Amino acid sequence: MPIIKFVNVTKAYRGTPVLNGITATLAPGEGLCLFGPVGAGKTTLLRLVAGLELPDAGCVTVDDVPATEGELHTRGIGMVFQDFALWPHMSVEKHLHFVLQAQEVSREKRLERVEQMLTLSGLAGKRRARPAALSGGQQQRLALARALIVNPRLLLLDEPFAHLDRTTAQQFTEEIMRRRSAQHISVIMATHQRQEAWPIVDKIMYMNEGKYQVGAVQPLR
Amino acid sequence: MTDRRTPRRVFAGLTLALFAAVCVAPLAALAWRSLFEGGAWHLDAWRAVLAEPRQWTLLANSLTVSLGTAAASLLVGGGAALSLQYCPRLLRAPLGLLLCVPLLIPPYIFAVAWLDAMMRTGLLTPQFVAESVVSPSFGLPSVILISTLSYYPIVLIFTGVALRRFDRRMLESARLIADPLQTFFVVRFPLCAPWVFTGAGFVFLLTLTEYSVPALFQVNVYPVEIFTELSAFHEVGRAAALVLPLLAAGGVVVWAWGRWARPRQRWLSHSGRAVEGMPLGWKRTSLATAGCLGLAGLALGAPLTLLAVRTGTLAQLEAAWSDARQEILTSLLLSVCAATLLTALGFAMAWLARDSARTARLFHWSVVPFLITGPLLGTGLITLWNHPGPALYVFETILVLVLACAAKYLYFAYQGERVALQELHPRPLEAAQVYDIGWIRRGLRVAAPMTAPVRAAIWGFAFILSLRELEATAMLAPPGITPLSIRIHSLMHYGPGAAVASLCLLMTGLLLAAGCGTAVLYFTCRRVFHAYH
Repeated sequence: MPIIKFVNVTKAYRGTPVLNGITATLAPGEGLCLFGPVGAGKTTLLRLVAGLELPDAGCVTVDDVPATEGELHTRGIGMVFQDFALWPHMSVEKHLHFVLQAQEVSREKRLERVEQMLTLSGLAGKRRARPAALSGGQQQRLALARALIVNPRLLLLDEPFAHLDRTTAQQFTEEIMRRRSAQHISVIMATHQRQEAWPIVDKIMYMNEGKYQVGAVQPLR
Repeated sequence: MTDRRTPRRVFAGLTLALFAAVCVAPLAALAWRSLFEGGAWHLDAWRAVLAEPRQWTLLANSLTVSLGTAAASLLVGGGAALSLQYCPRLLRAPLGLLLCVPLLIPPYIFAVAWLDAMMRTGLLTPQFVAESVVSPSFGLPSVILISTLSYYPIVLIFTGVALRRFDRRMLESARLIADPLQTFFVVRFPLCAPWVFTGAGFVFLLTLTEYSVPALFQVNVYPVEIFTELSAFHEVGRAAALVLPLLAAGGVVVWAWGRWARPRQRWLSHSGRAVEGMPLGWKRTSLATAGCLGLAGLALGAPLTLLAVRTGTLAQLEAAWSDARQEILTSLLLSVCAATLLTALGFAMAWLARDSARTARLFHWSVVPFLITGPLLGTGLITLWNHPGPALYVFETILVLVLACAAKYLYFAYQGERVALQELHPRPLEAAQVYDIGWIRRGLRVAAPMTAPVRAAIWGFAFILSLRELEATAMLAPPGITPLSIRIHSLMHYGPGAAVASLCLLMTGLLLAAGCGTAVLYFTCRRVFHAYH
């Protein structure tokens, strides 16, 4: 059974169509890359899956439930926002603790997972720093760490590696791939650089001017 | 060859000289008059006053009124700002404006309206004004209630600004992992709190130094006591000593704002995408709209209706207009001059303080003339300017009233300009520096136009504050130069009546027109200058 279904999804902003009748599915453990130029509607599609916006027509379902129904925080979604959406009043460590606290993770496990994630993201030395004191790359690492630490079933990534150096991007790619194989998490990744998505995804949706086309990644590699 | 730093030094010298003349000199004159007597310095009057046991009652009353009003404004203003978010989109802007209007009207006008209503309905007896027999259990809550209905828009505006600046993605990223309550307490509230508490801090300061409402309800707070010491006993030393607790309390609030709130306000930048109120269903939307309308009715509709009823006929209003034409002209002239001086000096100080932390620290002291209360500031100006010679020209003309308004409100003009300049994007100024454009020109030709809408708003608010100013000018008004506020003040001591009500309505009309003018000025500047804000 597919985890996500897009059925004839249409969305327009102030009369300008962004998504036009998108129909597609994503199976558990599968990865989908949303690829296209700026303004193609990649972020909008991610926000529809997260339940942060309503489609004008059609339906987006997660586990056969419309994405906007029920409480957002109970659906096991991790998301990296394009401009990170970090909380300016919280330190790096507090960011990670807060999301685990919200998931009611015990204190011991929380401490352990925060340490692991700080090491993975290379932010252990910046644990007490607030976002304003971090570079663009460090902020992106924190946004990725925040999304991954909750062990989501569905990971939504909006240009997740745009500000990262190649080594760090590689580390995060490997971590996401490891989780995909170990925990069968599904990934939807919006990017305009195809190469960074190849190792993570199985399918690609090319989007431009309201039109779209879905294909397998393999032949394009 | 001219030294490139010379114009800057001249600018700095002129600004500092004007700052000293407006702010420092009246305080120095006041200190001298209260501490230097009989050819020697002494603190006897100060010691005697501060040792009196009744100081505790005064302090308790002053703090109860200020803290009570700040807390009530926090609830009312914050609640109104949140409710506005859930009102129908079309109604939000007009309702928001309507809810802000009480801020334009001075609290003594509301006090006159409510007092009249209470006396007519038998809640108060007409004799109370003469006999001073209002019990504290009645007076304190009344003062808090009326001050809250007058000042809650400050918290509403600050909360509204915070909500507008709140980037919805910060909230969305939290909603994906936490429930709405956690999201509110861990993300939304901590980010908005510095703005909301700044608004409450302003309310605290304004109520702490407010004279008219406690005086009308006969609640003995420091400003009333100071006014009595000055007007009835001419005891400048005692009055100056009484201001110390106000300075301490106000200083703590200003210090806390600078240390805690101001750095945290920057967490919310205006580059974000504002949060939309979540659709709540028509029942809750109707409730929010009804709440906002109810508040506007209580804070604005009811007192204005009471004043209109008391005025009675249109003929009474016309008669008041004819009688008070000279006072209205004086008020308008005073307000234009004071607003212009405040805006120019505020910008000059902020531009100077931008490059020097030491100068910025010095200019923070401009809050003192506001905190020492209007009557005492007026006494300082009398001491300074009431001398034979050229000084007398200032003292006997409207200039002394302009200086009083400028001294009292300079801190707010300076802070407004300073915040605007701090939030200015640095790149255009750096580009000007690269092209070797001088320091003064950078200020006047680059920074000033980019922050023009803020300046327009500051000018408008300074105009409104000067138009309604009573406390500082009441001690000072030279013979034949009477602003409208002082005319109202003189008449209302004989109790509320038709003449006072009609003058209050005239004042309200002028203030509303000034508010509309400020809005037009602000939006015109925004359009003309394509400003950053």
